[in-house]
This record gives sequence, structure tokens and C-alpha cells, in this order.
Amino acid sequence: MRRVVVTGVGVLSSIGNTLTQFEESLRACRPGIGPITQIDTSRLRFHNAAEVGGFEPTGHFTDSQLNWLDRFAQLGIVAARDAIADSTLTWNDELRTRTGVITGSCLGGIGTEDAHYFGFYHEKKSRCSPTAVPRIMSNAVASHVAMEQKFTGATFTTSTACSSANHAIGQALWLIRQGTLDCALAGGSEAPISFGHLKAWEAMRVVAPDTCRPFSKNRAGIILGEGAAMLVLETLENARARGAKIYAELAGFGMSADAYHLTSPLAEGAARAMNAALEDGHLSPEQINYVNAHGTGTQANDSTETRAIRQVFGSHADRLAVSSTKSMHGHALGAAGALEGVATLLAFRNNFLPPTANFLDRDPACDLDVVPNEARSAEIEAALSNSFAFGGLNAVLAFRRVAE
Amino acid sequence: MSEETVAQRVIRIIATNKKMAPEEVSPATRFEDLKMDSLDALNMIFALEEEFDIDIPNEEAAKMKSVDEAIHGAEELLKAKSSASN
Repeated sequence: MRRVVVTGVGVLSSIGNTLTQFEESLRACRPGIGPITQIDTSRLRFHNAAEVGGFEPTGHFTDSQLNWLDRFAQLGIVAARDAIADSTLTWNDELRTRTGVITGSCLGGIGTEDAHYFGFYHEKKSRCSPTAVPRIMSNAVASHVAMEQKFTGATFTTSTACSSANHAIGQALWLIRQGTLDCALAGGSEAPISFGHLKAWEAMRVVAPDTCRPFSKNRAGIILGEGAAMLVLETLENARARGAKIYAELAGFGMSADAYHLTSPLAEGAARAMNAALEDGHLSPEQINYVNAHGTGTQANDSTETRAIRQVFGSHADRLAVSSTKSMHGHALGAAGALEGVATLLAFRNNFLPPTANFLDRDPACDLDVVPNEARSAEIEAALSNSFAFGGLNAVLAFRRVAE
Repeated sequence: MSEETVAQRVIRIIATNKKMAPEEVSPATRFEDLKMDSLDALNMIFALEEEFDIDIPNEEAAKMKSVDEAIHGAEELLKAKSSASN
């Protein structure tokens, strides 16, 4: 069986637009949550989010390129470029035909869509730019990265709400493992800060008024985040042959459907996905040291996820570190699994456990070691990264340390 | 026809939401007795906001666990609205 490893990473988020900044923020337990700056929030019930700051599109794209790129695509393309640079792969025509781009996005170019609707409905405009459709399409990142890098292998986009990126990364793993691809760019990107979309979240009543406090007793909900992260995946054999740095092996992928409720999570469904990832990665529960939790900070998710972890790990759950980095980079929806995958890969490479920030009082219903408020040194042998979407679609990645 | 009271309007909204006859809903009815799940409750709160043109904050919404509590909440928010507009 072909084994798949991660040899390159790119990330843009509210806690850093480079890998180094992202890691520094995780280690310092420094959340990137604050007042929303991109839109006027005076007609919203919540005012905070985890926005990507300091991102200057003109530093990365020409004006004519930007005309065709929604913010979610800009973030995704830059993350892909950074991941490719980080991988130090040497590209040739053969490898390019065997490389695919598989990206996740929940919303696509929703900012562009919102702006166009505002023009039509409010400003009574009668026409919009012909760039609208390609800016809005959810596969924009996959297509632009493929075109820019001349990657011509299997390329597509998954859209499964908050699990989008994990479904994308999992598909990439399987496509390389089964020999369809030799290399893949996989991850997710999201830019959800548009008035119409935030009003929709307001109506769901799951956004916290202040900050995201996963696993805390008085947690009040999610904080929406934006960002993008991309991974370069290739075979272990190829990575070793070229002497590449290896973050970790992407050992397994598991998915499941709750088939239960649109918004209420089900522990059994989450547990099935975790068990499937372990089985796919030939890992026993006792080998896992760390779980990067879905950990949204809603009352329902965090207690249900705790029950699911206890179902999967039994007494070993008391020896696991479980943290939610959403407490720092927010819930980036279709990019969430990619950002959390990067946090997990950094934990492997640089031997630390990312903390759960903003933690206050313990909740008996979340009785796990959630690495509260302080990063910790640790050597991880194997880890899971959980994503559970509205609609009950679960996707879990399993990572394992591997010698370079 | 006399004008509907706030209580009658709340009951009508809840009954419509649950596809029941208004006679089957009384102030004492608890939402759990109506088999209302979290999404049903969200939809009902939204329908109340639309009916009365009020904003029901999350803290107020969380207190509404019965028809009576929804009526009381709507009345208080309507009072606040009319005093704000005076």
C-alpha cells in the first residue's frame, strides 16, 4: 500500500499569515478574535470574528487577476503557493500530470454574491460584472491553482459545510494511495464575512457574543473565522527519495453520516467517523496521543464530541490531549479542517500540544484534558483531527509520526 | 371581529409552526410537550420576531420554554418597543 505524507504546508488565518506566525500564536495561546472590520455590524447581534488581518491582495495578484478572484479564492491560492514553496518539490511535466488539487469550501465566493445582490435589489442596478460567476463558484481555488501551477491530475472541490476541508484532504489521501495521483494540493479556504451571510448565522443563534470558549462550562457558541490552509501530499517513498522534510504521515481518513438531525450532533455518528479513520490508518485507539477536536464552542457540539471521544477511546480518553484551536483561529467553516490539520502537523513537527484558549470553568460534560490556556511540550506519535458538519456529515483525519 | 390579543397571536404562531389547531395549544403548554426540537424552537422565535416586528435577544429566547413564557417575553419586548418609539 502506498503511504502518504505531508511535505508542505501553507496557511493564512486570523492568527498568522505565515506558518511561523501561525505556530507562534498557537504556542503563545493567542487568539485572533476581535471586532469585525470588513463590514458594518451595527445591524448584527454579534460583532466579533476571526478575520485574516494584514492580507494585501495587491501584493499577491495583479489588478486584472483580482478582478476574477473573490477573497476566499485569494486566500486559497496564496496558501497553495506557500505550501508548494514549503514542499521544495521540483516539478516536471510528468509530475504535473500526476498532481491534483482538491479543495474544500462551504460558501464559495459568498462576498461577491452578496455584493451583487445588493446591487440588484437595493441599488436597482440592471447588470453585473461578467466576472461574477467564476468568482462565486466554489471550485475557484482548485481551478486557479491548477491553472497557475499547470497541475492536470484529478482536481475538484468538496462542499460539506464545516467538514469540507477534511473531506477534501481525505479524498486526496485516497487518490494518492490508490495510485490515481502521485501528489496533491489539498485543503480549504473560506471568507464568510458578508452582511447577508452573517445575518443567516445570527438567525441560527449559535454565534458567541464575545469569544469562543470550547469545552468551558459557560461556552456561548462559535466565533466565525476566515482563512485558508493547503497541504502538499505525496508518497512516503517519493518524499524519502528526495530527502524532503516530512511533517507527518496522513495515515487514515474516515467519514460517516449521522442521518439524524440537520443541526444537532450525534455522538454515535462522530464516533463512527473516528473509528473509521483509525481503521483506515491501521491505528489502535491507544496509539493516539492527541485529538484536534471539532470543538466549536457550542453547548451541543462540545459535550457530544466528548461523549464520542469516550465511546471511541474508552479509558484511554483520560490519557489523551484534546484541544480546540478554533478558540484561536475561529470556525473557518470549509477551511476549518485544513487550519486544524496544520495545527496538528506543527504539533508533530515541533513537539507541542496546541492549547484550547479562552478556557474558564470546567464542564463535567466535557471531562477531557483540553490543554487549557497553555501550550504544552509533548511528542505525539499519532493524532486525529475531527470535523463534524451541520447536516451530520463527519470527516476525520488520522496522522502518524514517520521517520524522514 | 375583535382584535387578537398578544397571547392569541403567540398561540396562533406556535400552532401554525407545529401544524396544530390553536385550540390544542394553551398558555400552560410546554415546548417539550409539543416535541419541539432546537430547530423548531429557532423557527418559532423567528416567526414571533416577524409577527410582532421585535428582536428577541438570545438571552430572552433561551428563557422561552413554554407558551406562557413566549407570551410574556413577547409582551415585554412589545412594551420596550412602544416606550422606545414614544
